[in-house]
Amino acid sequence: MPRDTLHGTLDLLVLKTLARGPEHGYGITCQVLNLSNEQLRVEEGSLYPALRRMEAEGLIRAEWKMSENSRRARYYSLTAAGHKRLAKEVASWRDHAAAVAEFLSLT
Amino acid sequence: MLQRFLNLFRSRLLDEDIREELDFHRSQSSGAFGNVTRIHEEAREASTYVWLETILQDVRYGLRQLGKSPLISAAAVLSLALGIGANTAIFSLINAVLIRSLPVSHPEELSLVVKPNRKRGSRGAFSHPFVKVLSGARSFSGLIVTAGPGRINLSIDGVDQRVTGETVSVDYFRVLGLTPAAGRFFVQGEDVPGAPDHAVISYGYWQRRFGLDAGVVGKTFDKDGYSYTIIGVAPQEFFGVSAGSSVDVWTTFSRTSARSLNSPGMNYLQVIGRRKAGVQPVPAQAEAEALFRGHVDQFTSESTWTPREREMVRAGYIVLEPGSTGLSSLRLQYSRPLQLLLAIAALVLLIACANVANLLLARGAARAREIGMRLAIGASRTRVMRQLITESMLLASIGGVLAICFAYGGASILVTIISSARGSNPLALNLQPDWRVFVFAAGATFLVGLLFGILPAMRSIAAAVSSERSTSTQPFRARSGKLLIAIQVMLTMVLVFGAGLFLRTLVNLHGVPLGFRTESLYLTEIEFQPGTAAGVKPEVYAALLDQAPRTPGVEAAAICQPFTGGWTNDVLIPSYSTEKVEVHRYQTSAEFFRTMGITVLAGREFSSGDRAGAPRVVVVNQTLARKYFAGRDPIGQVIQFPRHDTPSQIVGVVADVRVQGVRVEIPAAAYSPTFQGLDIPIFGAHTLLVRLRGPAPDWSSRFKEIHPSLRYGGGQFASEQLRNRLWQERTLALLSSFFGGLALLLAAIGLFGNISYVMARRRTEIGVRLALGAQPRRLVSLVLREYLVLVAVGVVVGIGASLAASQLVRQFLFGVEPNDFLTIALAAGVLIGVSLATVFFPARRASLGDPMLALRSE
Repeated sequence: MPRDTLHGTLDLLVLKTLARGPEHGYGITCQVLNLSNEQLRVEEGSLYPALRRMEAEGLIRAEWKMSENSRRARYYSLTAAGHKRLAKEVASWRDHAAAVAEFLSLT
Repeated sequence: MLQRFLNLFRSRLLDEDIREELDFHRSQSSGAFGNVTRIHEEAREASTYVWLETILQDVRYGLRQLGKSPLISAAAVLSLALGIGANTAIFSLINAVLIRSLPVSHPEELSLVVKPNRKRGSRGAFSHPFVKVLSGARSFSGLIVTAGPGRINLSIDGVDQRVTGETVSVDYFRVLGLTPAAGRFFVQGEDVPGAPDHAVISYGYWQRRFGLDAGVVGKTFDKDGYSYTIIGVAPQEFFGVSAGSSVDVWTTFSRTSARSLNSPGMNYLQVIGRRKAGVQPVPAQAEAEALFRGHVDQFTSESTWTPREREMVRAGYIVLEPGSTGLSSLRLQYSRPLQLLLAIAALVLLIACANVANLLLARGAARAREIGMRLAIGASRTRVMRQLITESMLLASIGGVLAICFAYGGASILVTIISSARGSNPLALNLQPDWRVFVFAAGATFLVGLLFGILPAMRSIAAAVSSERSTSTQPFRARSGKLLIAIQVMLTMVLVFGAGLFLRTLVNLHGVPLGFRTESLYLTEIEFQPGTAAGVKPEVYAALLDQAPRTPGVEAAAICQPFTGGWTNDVLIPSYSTEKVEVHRYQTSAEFFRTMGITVLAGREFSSGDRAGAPRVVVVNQTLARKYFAGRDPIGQVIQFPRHDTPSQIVGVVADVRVQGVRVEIPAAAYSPTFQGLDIPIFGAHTLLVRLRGPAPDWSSRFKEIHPSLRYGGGQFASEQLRNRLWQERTLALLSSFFGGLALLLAAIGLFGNISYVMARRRTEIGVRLALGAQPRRLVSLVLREYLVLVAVGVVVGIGASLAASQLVRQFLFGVEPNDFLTIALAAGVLIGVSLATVFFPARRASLGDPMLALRSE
């Protein structure tokens, strides 16, 4: 059973997914599910508001394009600011995870 | 970010966008999607500024609300536009006269060099020798020297024109840091005697006279008998360094006489210094003052100076004043009246605010249900409050935008009014609105919107809340409405009373007997071709006095010098004292007293026998006779004038005249005959006076024919000249009456709105009373009495406020005390009369209605 994303990691997952190439909202949910071996799942209810927010913040940009099955879809891609933010988020996540792991390994 | 802002204005497109995106997702995925509407809303909120969007909503809703009661809205917007517009117009004037910097580079580095003169309240002026000394000051990188703007004659292609000319230092434009719009400016060496006569013209003159013709550089014109070549045009935004006048032609001191250039006593220059970067005003002032001290001590050490003269000159000192706004005698003259006008306009704006607040109160009452409903279904009070404040801000903003248009027109009208009151000395101001004017208008609009918005908004909410419990909240609201009316009446009282004082001042000033007949007395300024020898002048006068009376319509003609302005001498009256006394001096031709219509009280006028070679004679005025010959007959006594070899015998005493203006105390004056030697310097204007039987004569072209050295200097009727001298009083009387009338109108509108509203609310009560047999007349008087009390309270408080305020304007009054009873009574009477008339008609209409109709309507 895939877990819903941890609070605060949604942005990170979206940015990471989009760093691999442009994708539409549905595609992002699929990619996250596949790439995490079905361990992680983003919920639509949080995804779309988050995409709109990040678009307004200038981290990603959107474009209507034809999807694989010839329907119009809103494709998102990373901006320069998005790439920068991703690097920062990744670093901070690693620090955080390491700190938590160390804390839990206390005997 | 921009996207997010833009999304505000395309909310429908945005919705479409989100729906399609979500639809696509649902078509792809087979699983449950959750609450589509919620996701949609959240996505939408993330895409735009919600708080801004609700404000836009409020604005749209507010506009619809204003549209629902167009009459009230229009009345409110108009009151506000008039109020804010009047304030902005006066502020633009204040901005142009007092605040706006000269359009030159680094105006903050400029310092006015000023020689204060306490006795006359003026600034004093400087001589060429001192300017030369000052130009060595290390604190200044340059000096801007000017003889000040003045009216001059020039002729281009044979056509004579009167323009405003200014003689300036060659450095003038360079030190100001200006770039010519065409040609070039003066360079070093162009001011030395014998240098070619060059001139720079203003952009405005270039446009008016030459149609911006690029070939203007190199054109020539005649001035003072010399041919000047135009070498350049000043930039468009530059009118000169004196706010209030607009210079057409600049020339250098190249034609200034050696006497003017070299005598340290010829003080006629005004100086602005540009401080070097980093030099503060205080050390610069110390340096200038030290230079001045050395200069004065040196030139007054000569033995030709009497101790008193020496003391007077040495008492002078120098200060530096901020010069970024340029030279301006206007600043001294106008700052108090302009501040007064701004205060008056602010009161009018307050009245307008009270008016709008009252209108909104009445409308708020009608909306109590709507607001109650909104509160009931869960809107917070602050949310509803915000909606109501948005509406009043909207009202204020529309008013504000209109106001800026009004202000732009109004300020030009103001300048026209002042200019027409100043007559031949019109006012030229740069009224182009700048950021200060916009900030002022926006600030006023914002404050006003809050001021009139908050009270009605709070009342509306309170009313809506209490209406859930009881049905009638009328006493509560009626009370705030009545308070506003009392305040309006009070403010209006102050304005009407002020207008009354200024009007009476003007009437009093016009009523002062002048001692001579001004109507049909025509004054022409006499000028001479430069370089005319002093010896030629008697011959010119003789020719003029011979020719002028032969002009059709002329009854009598005379020459007086100086007719306007004044010249005083310290004279010795042996029979009075061995100390010299100060008297005003005039030199007049024989017919002067007859032409003016001045009564000869004792002795005789001048005759043709009083000429060079004959014993010196003098005629004195009544004040001189009273002051220095108290009780004795002055005829036959003598006065010794300075530089006269023999004393002059008093041959006549004439009535006092007020030539200097009505507000000036009549000085002791002595009249000497023109033809016994001209010893009053040429600075005082020579005036040809003629008593007319018909229309004004046109001397302008005839003067040259009468004598080749004679030049025409402009003419006007004496009545016109005196009227112009009262321009400040006329302007104040005119504008305060206008604002007083406006205040009265606004107050009447407010009162009318309130009474109409109250009568509508009380229809049932009135219906019941009528049905029970009350007489309509008694009902009307009941209502009238209620309002009379209200107005009376306003008037009484207003009288108190008026008395306090009028003390502040004492200096503007003449012949009327600031607590003048008659003016108070008149103002109160007008106010009560207008109020009762305004209340009477709505009250009568209500009392004459069919009672059954009123009862049934509830």
